[in-house]
Amino acid sequence: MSFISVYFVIYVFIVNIVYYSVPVKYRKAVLLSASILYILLYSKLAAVLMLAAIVLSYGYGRCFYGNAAWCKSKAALAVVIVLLLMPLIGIRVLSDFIAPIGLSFYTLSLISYVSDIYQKKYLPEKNFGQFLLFASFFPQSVQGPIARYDKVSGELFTPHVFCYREFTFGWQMVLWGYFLKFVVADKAGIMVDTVYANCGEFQGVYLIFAAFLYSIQLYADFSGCVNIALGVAQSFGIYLQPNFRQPYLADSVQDFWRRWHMTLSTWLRDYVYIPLGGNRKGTFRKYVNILIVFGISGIWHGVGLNFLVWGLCHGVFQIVERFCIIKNKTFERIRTFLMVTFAWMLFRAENMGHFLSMLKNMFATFNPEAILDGDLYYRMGLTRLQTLPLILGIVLLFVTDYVHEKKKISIREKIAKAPMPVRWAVFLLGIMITLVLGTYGPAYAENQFIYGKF
Amino acid sequence: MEKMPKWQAVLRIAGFIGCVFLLTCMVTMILKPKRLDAPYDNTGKVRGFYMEEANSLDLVFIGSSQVFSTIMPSVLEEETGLSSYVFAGNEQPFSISYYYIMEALKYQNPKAIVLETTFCNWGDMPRDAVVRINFDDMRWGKAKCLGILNNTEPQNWEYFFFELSKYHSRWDALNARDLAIKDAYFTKNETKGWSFYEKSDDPAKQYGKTVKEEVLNCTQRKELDENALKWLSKIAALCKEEEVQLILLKTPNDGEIICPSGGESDEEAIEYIDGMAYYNSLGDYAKEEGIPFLNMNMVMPGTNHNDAENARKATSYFGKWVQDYLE
Repeated sequence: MSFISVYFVIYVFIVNIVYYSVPVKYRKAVLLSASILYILLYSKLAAVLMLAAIVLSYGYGRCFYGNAAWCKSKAALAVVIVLLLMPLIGIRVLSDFIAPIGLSFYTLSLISYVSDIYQKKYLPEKNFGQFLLFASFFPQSVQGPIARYDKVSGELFTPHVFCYREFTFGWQMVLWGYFLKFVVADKAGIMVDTVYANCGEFQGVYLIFAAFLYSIQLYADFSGCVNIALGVAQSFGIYLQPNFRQPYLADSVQDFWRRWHMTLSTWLRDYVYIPLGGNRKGTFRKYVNILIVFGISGIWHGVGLNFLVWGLCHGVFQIVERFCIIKNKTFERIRTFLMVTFAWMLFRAENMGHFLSMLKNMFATFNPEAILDGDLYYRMGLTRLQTLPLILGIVLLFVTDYVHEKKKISIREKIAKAPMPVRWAVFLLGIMITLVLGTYGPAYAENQFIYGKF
Repeated sequence: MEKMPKWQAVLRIAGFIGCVFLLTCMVTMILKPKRLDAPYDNTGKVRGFYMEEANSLDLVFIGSSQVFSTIMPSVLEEETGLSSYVFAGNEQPFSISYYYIMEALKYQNPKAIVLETTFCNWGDMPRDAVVRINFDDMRWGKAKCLGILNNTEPQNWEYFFFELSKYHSRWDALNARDLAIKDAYFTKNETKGWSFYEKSDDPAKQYGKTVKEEVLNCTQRKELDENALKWLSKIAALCKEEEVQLILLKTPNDGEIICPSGGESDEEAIEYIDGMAYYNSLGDYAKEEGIPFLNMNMVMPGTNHNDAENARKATSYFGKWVQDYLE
């Protein structure tokens, strides 16, 4: 049951009803049952792999605080981490094999848990049911955010009473997530896929346009999914860690990674960069550490030289941008966006050869007239009229980001203060726009979330 | 922060969901294709059935495009006084006809249900397009829900139950007709389900063949598809349960007799015998079950989708036959 299926919406709503209908003390059990059922419905293999990893991590935690001295050694921790990583590495090596649901995400969550236990940051979880809930909580099991035990345990294990505001705010966020996915990401995806699948037929402005659109598509797709996850959790009164903070308004690549996939960035910082010495061992080692961290990030995202180069690119950009002498916010933002967009081309390409061919064709001709004569939209798979919702969606996405960044205003809070008819009109309009203008249904090939495959 | 009593919150959530539901229904009505142009005027035909006065029909015709091109309810009423409606859909197999009959009996209490049997040997799952055209315009209820569940693959259920997902992408192709909701959904069908077809080529003239007597009178039998037979049995049981007479009808169609596929006349004849053999088996089944069966291939020439002239003749013949039978 994918997030983009109508069954998922119905499933969440039914779980909402059951959750708030039972006495508070049973609500965790409802969430746990719903999470297990969700994963079983998705894939039994995923459920088995997840359960094995959870039992291993839970067992390690219990042993660490028990009498078993052997598990207090670094070697034991290393063995547990390797065992946790094995399915992920196996899937990466067998690149034709589709990763089971959320494998990358819960693997990182559990590695952080066992590492923190080893470092005695907190006590291990005694209750297996609660631990199971932490690792399998269904809204975050597809594409994260990557849960950290110390950050989410309080939210997950504390009983929540019904709050109308939380409930409606949660569903509003779900709606925003679907809007980003269906109206922006998947519509942009039609154009991007057309160009990338036939890159030999496109040159110049088409490829530049596709590269920019892919940046937007990836952001809308991934943040759309995370918004759905955060919103669903909030409908149960649970706050998960946010994963995005206006990433395309970053003024450096370093700043970009503080705003993009924040739970992965902080995970890499805490469990790779800092253990490697971080910036404590001189400038050269710091740069080497940055390259190692982003190399690992690249490999985590996929098998292939292009993913490794993509990761290293981000490392190199972060080193190089420190030497830039122009200090102007707007310039820095544009520069960052261009660098990130360039790197996304590597991310989207099938392999290095595909990327190099795209790059070559991008500058092979100068044909800006295609933007004006309408040929661009048509050749890329959409009519001019069909492009309109995409453009409006992108504008709305950036305006929202800008307002959040600059004015520090929460748009949801603003809408919540409006009279009920206005609020309802806004949300009904949002739902209808998503349902009518969105890219979904049997007329389109089903586009799963891009980050779901990592 | 606003503290709201739980009952008030529940009421508001229910109200909002109600608004979403209503709005979605309205938008779906607009975006759904209006199939009003003859000969494939399915929307008017299905929706028009609901505009008929309750329990006012003597006969309800069910089946594929062969019946809605051949039976003219106005002629039937004029000549026999029997009121009728052709509640049919394109390429309708028995697995869909069953639910059409269920739906028809919800609104009408006819003397007989007349089931056209061109698809008597079709036991496969119908194509999605067929399910769409047959069920899109049917009112939501038990018949439509069960019909979709039993005629589509489970992975497609969400598209059939959430119709907007199938048609939302038509937003950029809407025209004035799409907005004329009243015409499409709430207007009586003047021809009572009959659709006008242009005069089609006479297969006998087209292929230079005539229907051979020996072929018409062949006694061969071919086993009908098991699944089709299962649905036919269910139809018979449903009619029995509802105490409505079931009549099987094969509309005249020489196209089944003289077909273009074979080069030699004998080969064509063999294909025809195959076709006849199925209807012979159907006849056996009908006899066994005590269901009246009229195979009009045996009594008059016809074409694939009969034109108005043929339709008038076929309706007249059927009218006399059914009048004698009902009397």
